[in-house]
Amino acid sequence: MEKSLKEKCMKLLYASSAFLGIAVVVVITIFLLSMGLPSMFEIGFFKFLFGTKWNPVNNEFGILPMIVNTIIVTAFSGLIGVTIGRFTAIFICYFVRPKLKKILMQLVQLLAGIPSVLFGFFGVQVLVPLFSALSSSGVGYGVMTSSIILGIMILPTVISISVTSLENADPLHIEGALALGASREQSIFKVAVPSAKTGLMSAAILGIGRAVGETMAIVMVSGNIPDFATSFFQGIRTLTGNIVLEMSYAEGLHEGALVATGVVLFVMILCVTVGLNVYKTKSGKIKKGKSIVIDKCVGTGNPQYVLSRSKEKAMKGFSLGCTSMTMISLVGIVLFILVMGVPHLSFDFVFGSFEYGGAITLLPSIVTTLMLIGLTVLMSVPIGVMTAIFLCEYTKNDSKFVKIVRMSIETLAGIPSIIFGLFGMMFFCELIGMGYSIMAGALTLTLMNLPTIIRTTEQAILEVPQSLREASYALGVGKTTTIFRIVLPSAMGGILNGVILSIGRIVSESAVVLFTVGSTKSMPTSPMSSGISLAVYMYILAGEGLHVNEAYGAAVVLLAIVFIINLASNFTKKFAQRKNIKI
Amino acid sequence: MYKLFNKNENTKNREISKNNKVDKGDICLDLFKDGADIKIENLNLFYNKFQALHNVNMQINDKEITSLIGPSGCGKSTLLKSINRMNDLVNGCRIEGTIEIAGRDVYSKDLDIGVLRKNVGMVFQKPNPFAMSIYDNITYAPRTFGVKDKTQLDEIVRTSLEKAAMWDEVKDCLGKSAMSLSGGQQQRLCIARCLSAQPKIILMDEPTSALDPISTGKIEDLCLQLKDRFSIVMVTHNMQQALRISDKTSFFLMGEMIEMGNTREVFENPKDNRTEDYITGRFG
Repeated sequence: MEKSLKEKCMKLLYASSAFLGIAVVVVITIFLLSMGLPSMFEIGFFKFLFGTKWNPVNNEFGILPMIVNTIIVTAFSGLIGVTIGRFTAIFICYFVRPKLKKILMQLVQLLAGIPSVLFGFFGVQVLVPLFSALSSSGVGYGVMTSSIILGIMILPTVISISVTSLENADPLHIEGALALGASREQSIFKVAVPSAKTGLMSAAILGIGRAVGETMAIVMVSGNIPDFATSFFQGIRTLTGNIVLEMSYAEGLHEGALVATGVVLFVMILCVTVGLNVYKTKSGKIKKGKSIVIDKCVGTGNPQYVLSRSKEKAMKGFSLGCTSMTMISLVGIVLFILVMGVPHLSFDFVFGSFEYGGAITLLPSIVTTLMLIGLTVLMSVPIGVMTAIFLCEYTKNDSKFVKIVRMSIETLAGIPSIIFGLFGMMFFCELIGMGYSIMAGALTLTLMNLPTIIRTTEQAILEVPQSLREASYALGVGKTTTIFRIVLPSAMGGILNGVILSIGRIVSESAVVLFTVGSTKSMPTSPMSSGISLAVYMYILAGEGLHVNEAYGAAVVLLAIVFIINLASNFTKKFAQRKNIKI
Repeated sequence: MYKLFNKNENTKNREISKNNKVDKGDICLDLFKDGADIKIENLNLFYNKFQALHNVNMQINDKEITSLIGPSGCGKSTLLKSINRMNDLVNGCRIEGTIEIAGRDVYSKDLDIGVLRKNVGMVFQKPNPFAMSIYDNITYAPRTFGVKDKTQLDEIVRTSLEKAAMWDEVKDCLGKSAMSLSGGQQQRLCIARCLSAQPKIILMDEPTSALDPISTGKIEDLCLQLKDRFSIVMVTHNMQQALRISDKTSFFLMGEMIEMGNTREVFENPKDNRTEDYITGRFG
């Protein structure tokens, strides 16, 4: 039975790539723990977690200030991001025409694509001087600037997930409420929004998860003083900042302490993810009975479900205000960078050949970025697509292995890039001995991008109608051929979109690249040579203070690439939709 | 035309040829050379704990149209899908009893499921052409079975479409996407696609329920033409359709086969009260 042997081999191949996802999570966890925990205990568990002094020179490693600062900044940015994001989502969903909704959602997507170094740069150049002029202490860095920048950064996550959950909320709820005599605002704010509560809450939690793990922007605007935040305007340092700032020169116990900081961060993120899952399963159980009751209560005069006329107006106005703020921050950042950066662009600056000690040119960084993209796509797409095929075509949803695979992918998706960077640096660069190299960076980025590819591919494969598979099987065609000739071609648009999204992430990524590829400014000659990606170069130019104009120029180039990727993504989405139209 | 697969004596087929005890030179993927009578004995089928078919016994003759009628959920489609083992795709499906085609056990372990389905074609309720050109839709199965020669493929496309009575309609636009055809054309294309695998038996699962009356008429005419060469088993909700085209009719209720016989007899002189109640429209 050679035919079935081939089928078996393919299944084994798919299963092993799915297994790789689990292996990665396990290896990262074990590796981090084995590197971090010994140092943690050498320092003393409580001394490390609750120590208030961080002074590596004197072997003092207390990270309590960093933990507290992270929580403070996360809380404030969450407050800003979740509030604005949620009301923006409500406004986009219920108060604008479909055409405008489409445009607004595309802008939100664009905001999601902007690299974090650009947010940080905007913070340093605009918010820091502004607040240092306004505050009594004369310092612009700190909780205030960090929270605002982070709040803006988590907006796209919050908005897009909230919009999806509002769209998925039963439209009959609104109709039911309207039929009972409730006003439109009443039915939206008192019926539709509460019925989408689970989704809105997940959006908030995911946004907060992103805020905890954000690194590069925070490093640029927080001020980086390892002390408790006592006011809004005072330099602070967060857990992620601590790792980025000192990892490059740390050795021995110092290095261990930084890895241990990563472990603490990892645990915090894990708590958020686990909390989210617990919340989802819990509310999934009670949801059914509850939403029907809400329907019945509207129009009965129960004050809990009625809005006064003035309150209605205020709520609607607030939603409009939040939406405007979202759009202003997006347009503001883009315009600011364009206005400041475009005058500094020139052919030599972007494409000039590199010489030691010569003028600054972006060409080597562009080449490095392209190499990173190529290698990462080459590695992550086959593994990701095969895993998705395994999950969609070969498994029952309730099998234990599938559950573990899904959990691993979810965990992997939640791990912040700085942890990936830390892992890549110690595992690929040091343990395997690749050194700072484009290859090490691509391998790390592959791990980071797997969840994106797997999810989008899975989605695309699930959208392929079952009837096509049946038609193929009924002709006596085997599973492998059916998958390659029928399923994958139909899912191609969706898969391509996933690839483009992950290219966007590679372009924007800076923490991982800084840790694994390094910051050599010369032209890369092979995948094993070190290099500097465009985003990292921009970060370094912005940080040096000598080349702010060039930093603006690099920012424009970065932004242009993000625009192009965004356009390409929209195009493939449309392409995928057109192909899937069925009679 | 049926020698198409001769040249393609590849390793994939060797196993079957061994089982079939056929000479090497004569090999094609035909399982049922001498007739394709279907014999179903004591068939019980379960979806997890739910029993969908109860002890079904029936004989379906070669080169006849057999209609399966009965109310929704009575097990007609389930039975149909057991014949080409499409039920294998359903989780938790369990089968007891035997189905034999021309004396060969369909569920025996040494029968390749792909070869079985190649010999027992299926047409579905809703037209489900692949999102490719008309030409590619029809060459999909032959290519998978190893036909590579362009003239052979062209020949298959022409004969399949001719048999499906749509060659004249589409011969000038074979490169057009199958999705651009009308619903009725799509369904006939699906029949042509099914014929391209050169089956002996065609299973049809309510093939006209998604179509307009004119397209339905065309498909019915087509079935009558195909009857000379194939045996057709058709599930239908349309009593008139069963009466118009089928030779034998079998009535199902709650997973049991109530009665089976010549169509005229079943409709004009049903033996069982329940059959009469259903045919006269008292339930269903």
